[in-house]
Amino acid sequence: MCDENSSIHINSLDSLKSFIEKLGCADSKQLTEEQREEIFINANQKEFSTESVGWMVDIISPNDISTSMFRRSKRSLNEVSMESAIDLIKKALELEVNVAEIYVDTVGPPDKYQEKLKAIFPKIKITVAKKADSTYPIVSLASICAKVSRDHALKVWKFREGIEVPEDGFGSGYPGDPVTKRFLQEYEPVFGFPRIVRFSWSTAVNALEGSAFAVEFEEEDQPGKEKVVLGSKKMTSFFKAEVPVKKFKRHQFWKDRCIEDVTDF
Amino acid sequence: MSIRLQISKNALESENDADVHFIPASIDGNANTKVDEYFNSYKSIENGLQINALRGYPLKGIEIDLPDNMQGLVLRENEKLQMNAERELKFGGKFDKFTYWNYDKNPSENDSYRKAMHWLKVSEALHSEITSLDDVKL
Repeated sequence: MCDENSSIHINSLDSLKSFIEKLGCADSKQLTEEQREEIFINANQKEFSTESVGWMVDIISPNDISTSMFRRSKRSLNEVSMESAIDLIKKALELEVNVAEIYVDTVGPPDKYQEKLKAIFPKIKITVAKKADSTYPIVSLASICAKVSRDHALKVWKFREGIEVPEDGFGSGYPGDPVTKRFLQEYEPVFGFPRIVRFSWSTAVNALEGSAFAVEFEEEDQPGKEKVVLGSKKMTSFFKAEVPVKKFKRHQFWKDRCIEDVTDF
Repeated sequence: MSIRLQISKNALESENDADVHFIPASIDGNANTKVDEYFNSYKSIENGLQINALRGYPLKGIEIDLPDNMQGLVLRENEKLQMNAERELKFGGKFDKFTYWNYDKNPSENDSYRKAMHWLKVSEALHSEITSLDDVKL
């Protein structure tokens, strides 16, 4: 339900090596929540945090992601993620971290992403790769920091909607989780779900279809423009007498203001 | 077909105003809904504009006062009556201002709602009585 991005800063490459060996990082997806937390706690021990590693996460709320994706000029989830990564690097530089190398787990094609980052940060060695999470321990650790932060954010989530969360919670947020599926069965007719749910998530959209009220926003297409229908005349139209219908056209003044005659409401 | 409006003087003089929102979307249904919990609780202010979201769509809003000498009313109809029966609308609330929301667009004088309000002035000019030729502007 949430998305997260993180970056790791190291004081020296040598200390990084020994550091990661000590922590025992691996692909964060293959670790249990408990294992991730253990590594996270170790990474924040004084000796590690002052000697070799600092971390920063950018937590983007589900609401922020949907409103970015549903802007009039739509942004994809990948674009949201890239922007967040770029901001994190900029923030590290602002804090005067000496960034020599950057390792990034890709979203979308890695070479394009890498080019994009190189154009913004030409002096830094940048590696963007698929599955960097399992190839580069530093990325794995960054991912652990991100996942632990996300898990914590969800644990302490305050529902302003005043809903009662079922005893078993709302699950992992992955579409296959039966607890998450059950959580999505409860809805509000107009607003749909509480904002812990990302509305740009197809699972959420599908869950609302047919149950909650259909809500349709004005589309970006220019209003008043008629759709062009392609194709020739229907065969049967030649057998009908054509009765010319004089269409009464409203003046632009009324059209611009959405004013119409109403006899019933 | 006539429509009866049931509005008591007491109701109009009550101090509580209804919380009314102009939403740039069609909502296919009618129901009581938890506006305070699901919507108002997430409102924030950015550069003088109200920011919120509905079903993940970004909204930008401002508070708009009704034109002078106008009273906003919320009317309720309990049930759809049979055809041709006299309809009755009951008082549901009153308001003098409301929150106007645009879908990811700063509210401005170019919005249809605000332009529609021009009609009030045009209508006044068209329908006010001309008592002397001096009133006619050429």
